[in-house]
Parts: sequence; structure tokens; C-alpha cells
Amino acid sequence: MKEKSDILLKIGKDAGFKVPENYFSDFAEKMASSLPEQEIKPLPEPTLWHKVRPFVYMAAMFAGVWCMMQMFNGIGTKEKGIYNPDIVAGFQNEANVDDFMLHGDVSEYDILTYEDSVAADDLGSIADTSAH
Amino acid sequence: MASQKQYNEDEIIEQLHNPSKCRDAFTQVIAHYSEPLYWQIRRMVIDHDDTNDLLQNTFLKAWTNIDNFRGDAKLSTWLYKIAINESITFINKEKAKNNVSLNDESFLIDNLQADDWFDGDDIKLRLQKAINQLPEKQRLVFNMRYFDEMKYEEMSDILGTSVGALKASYHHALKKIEQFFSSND
Repeated sequence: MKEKSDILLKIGKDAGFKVPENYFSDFAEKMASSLPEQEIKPLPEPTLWHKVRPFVYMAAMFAGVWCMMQMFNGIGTKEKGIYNPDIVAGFQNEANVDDFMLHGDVSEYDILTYEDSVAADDLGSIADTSAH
Repeated sequence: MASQKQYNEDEIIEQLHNPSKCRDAFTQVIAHYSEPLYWQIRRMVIDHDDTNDLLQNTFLKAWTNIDNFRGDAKLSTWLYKIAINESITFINKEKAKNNVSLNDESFLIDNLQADDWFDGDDIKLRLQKAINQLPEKQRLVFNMRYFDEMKYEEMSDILGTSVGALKASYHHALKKIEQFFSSND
């Protein structure tokens, strides 16, 4: 970003304002003598709490960071995989696993053929029953 | 600077809250800050006599509120804030008195050419006109940066605006001043 334009370089820093001679020294003198009397309260002595406050804040900050680390650490441990042994044993027992999962390669055609054969058997048994 | 004693801000701030030393300490503050504050006010209100009154008001306000200054901010920041607020209040009152619109501050430089305390040539008068047509905030930023060479960080503390926004304001002010000169050539 350009800090000064060409025209400002030409003009310079003098704005053309001036002040009466000795203005600033006279002003300071006059101003100081015209200050009204007033009661200045001394700054109150810092209490124990004011003194220990920065340390308390710092301790609270470290405690917060520690808690956060504990929380993230807990989440990380679970992700790494500490499993419930009962659930693991349950999965390892084949009897608990659904047949469908063991025979996942059964196609829809096989299922339809199976259903048709069951239906045909049913019809045959119904016909036998009615003949008796 | 007109101060005779070595000016030490930390010591001065401590003394300002010591009933037996505060008056002497504040006298040093006046001697130290009267010149930079004068120029800050003068560039805003232009007229020397108005500036003189506003500078007195600034120090008077600072003195009567010295108990409220705890030293959390820099003393210069606090004094500049008071001076700028005084100047803006004065300009707004003048606008109401002269029955001019809020954005029109040309009345401030109407009599500049005839002013005894202005010895600028034509180009300086035109610069004042160019600065005067800037919006209030840009004018403040331009004056602080260009004439006082104040750091953006310090300006940020005084004006309560981010450094980025101040840089942008200064950049816009420069552009407008350049445009003013090119369109009036």
C-alpha cells in the first residue's frame, strides 16, 4: 500500500498552522496554575485476592487443559479398540451368527426357486388332504 | 518539550494517585502532552483560539477524572481519547449552531485564508480543503498518520478500530486527496 502520494511528497508535513510565540510553555504554566483544588484518593491497597488472582487463573487454565487431555485420551483409547470380552466371545460362537451371514452367497434366484418348491409341496399336501 | 524534569511515565502514573505529589505530576503531564494534543485538536478544528479552549478543557477533564485513570491503558491513549471526544463534540455543536448538515464541515476552513495563525501558501490551503472533505474518521486517521506519524497500533487503541480498518481508511483518504488535487488542477 502506498504510504504517501506524489502531491503529499511535494507539500511535506508542514500544514501551514502556527502558534503565538512561547505558546506551549506559557500554556503549560497557565494551565497548571488554573487547575482546581481537588481531593485525590490514593489507590486502594491490593487485597489478597488481587495478589493471588493471576496464579488462580493460571492454575484453572492448566486444570482445564489437563481435563481436555484426559477427555481426548479416553476417546483415543476407545478408538484403538478395547472390546468387551463377552461380546467378542459371542461373535466367535458360530451358533450366534445368523445363517444368512454364513451363507451370504445365496442368490435371489436360489431363494425364489426354494420358495417355489415350498409352495409346490404345500399345494401337493393340500391336494392329498382333499382327496382323503 | 517544555518539561524541565526527566519525564518518566511509570513514575508519573504512580504519583498521580499520590495525594501529595499528584498536582506536580499532572503539571509534568501538561508540559509533556500539551504540544502533541494541541496539534491533534488543531488539525481537527483548524482555528487556534478554539484549539486553545479545547486543549484547556481536555486537561481539565483529565484532572477532574484522574481517579478514574488506573493505568490500565497508556496515559497518552487516555488523553488523546479525551481530546478527540472534546473536538468532535465541539464540531457537532458548531454544526448545529451554523445550521449545516452533519457531513458538511467546510465551515471550519471558510476563514482559514484570513486566519492570523495560518501562513500556508495556496497548495497548503488546498490540502486543508482536501482533508476537510474527508469523512470524520478518515480525516482523523489521515492526520494522525501523516502529520503525527503515529503507529497504527496506537491509533487502534485510541480510536477503538482494528489496525486493518485503519490502514484501509488511510488508503482511502490518500486516494480521495489525490483525486481532489487531480480534479482541481
